[in-house]
Amino acid sequence: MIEFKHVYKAYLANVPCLRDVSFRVNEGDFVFVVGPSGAGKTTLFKLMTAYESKNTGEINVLGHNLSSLKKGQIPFLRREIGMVLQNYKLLKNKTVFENIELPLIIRGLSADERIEKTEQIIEKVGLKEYRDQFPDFLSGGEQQRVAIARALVHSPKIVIADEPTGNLDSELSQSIMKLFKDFSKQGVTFLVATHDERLLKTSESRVLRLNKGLVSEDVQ
Amino acid sequence: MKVNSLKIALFFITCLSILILISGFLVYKNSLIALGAWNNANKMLVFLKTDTLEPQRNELIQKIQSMDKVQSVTLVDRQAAGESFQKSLKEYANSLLTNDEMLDLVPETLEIDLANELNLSDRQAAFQQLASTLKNEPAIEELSYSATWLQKFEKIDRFLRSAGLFVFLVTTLLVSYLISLMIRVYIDDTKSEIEVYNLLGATRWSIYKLYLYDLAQFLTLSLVVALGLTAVFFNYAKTALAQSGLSKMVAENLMFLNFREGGILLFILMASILAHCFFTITSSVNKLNQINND
Repeated sequence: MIEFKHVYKAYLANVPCLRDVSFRVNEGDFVFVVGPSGAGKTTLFKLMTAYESKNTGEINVLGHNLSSLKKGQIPFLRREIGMVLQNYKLLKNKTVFENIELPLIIRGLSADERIEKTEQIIEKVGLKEYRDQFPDFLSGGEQQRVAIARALVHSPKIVIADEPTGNLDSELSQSIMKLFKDFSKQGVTFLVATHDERLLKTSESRVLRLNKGLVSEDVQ
Repeated sequence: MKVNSLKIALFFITCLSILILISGFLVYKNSLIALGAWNNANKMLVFLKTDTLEPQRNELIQKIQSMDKVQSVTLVDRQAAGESFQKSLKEYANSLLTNDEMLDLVPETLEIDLANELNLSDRQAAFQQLASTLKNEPAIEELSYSATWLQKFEKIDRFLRSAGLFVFLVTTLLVSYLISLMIRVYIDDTKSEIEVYNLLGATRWSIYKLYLYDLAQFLTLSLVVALGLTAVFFNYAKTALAQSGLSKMVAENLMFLNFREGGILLFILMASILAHCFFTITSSVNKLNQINND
């Protein structure tokens, strides 16, 4: 599903962000990516989604070797990946429903299918009463849930989440993690970056720890 | 198409810019018509021989009418020519000639008008060609046109036409650039959307399509409104000129855009604006094809 082989990445010469990173994530795996700021978590995610290219090594995602992936194929790879970013990246001029519906529009689903899938995920993340609100009128936690719903609505094969519970209280964090786990059981692969040690303790999932660009720990 | 305050501001600026452009073109076009009408004071007068028969005369009229650049041929009969001549003699008219004497003296005349859009040098060349073709016609006594007058004003006429064309082209460039800049503001304002579309796996073409469709709708609406407003202003100006009396001749000759001119004008404008939009969106998509953590 995702495989990194001796990957090296530096934005500036002699300032590496990732050094000789190797790991493998299988279908349905749930992996926490942890590490201090600047450890290389975001770079790891950018490489997986072809926003950046590696300097050396090999990256395979969903059967594609990213080095040989053509520019025009990148959007189609991203359609198989759901992303939840720290700053949510919601469109302020669109309602909650419209924001969540976007990935389905991009995939060309019919209006009926879009409505059905969007309504289902809105209910799952508990945003039914905010359906027609604009993001600016929502709290940080609510916006986070909209971003999560948008990442999950099209049933992606991989979900990459950067601090998805960063703005949520502990009860809501647990419910979001439960939602992730439910999807994971259906075969969706999750890579979740977090600083929340409580989540690591309670979830009993694999932990990939990065430190100064190196994989310092990979434990089940 | 969703409406927001930026789009409304853009709509007004685009409408006004297009209105300026169309008005500029109308001023240019009608200046040419006015110049043509002014130049038309120089008609060619063809004085016919007194013994010319009606079939000969009609044949000659048909021949002239079929000639290149000739707009119209008007026959001035002896009666009308005599009245005109008498008018020019003012108070001396009655003491100099009787009506019958005058009718014998004054020949039938053909007044030849050339096409309005001809400049003076073309007009002079056309008159010269007409004169050389017609001089050996048996029905013609004499030909007359103001050759020296045409030569004298040729340079002024050419300058006015060139200046008009230059001003119009500069206005076209300025207006299309201004509209393009406004659209750039709009695209820059929606950069976050492009970033999100990239994130969600939208292809470049689907992003272009989204914006170009939106902008094409927006521009079409602006064009229709601008065209409508210009037509209203044009008709108002035409009516006001006609009612003022002094400018009745000018008002009668004023013309709005015809289908061909309108098509060419709108094609140039739309093509330059949409090309500019395409490049702006392309550069934005390229720049934003990365995750921004701001």
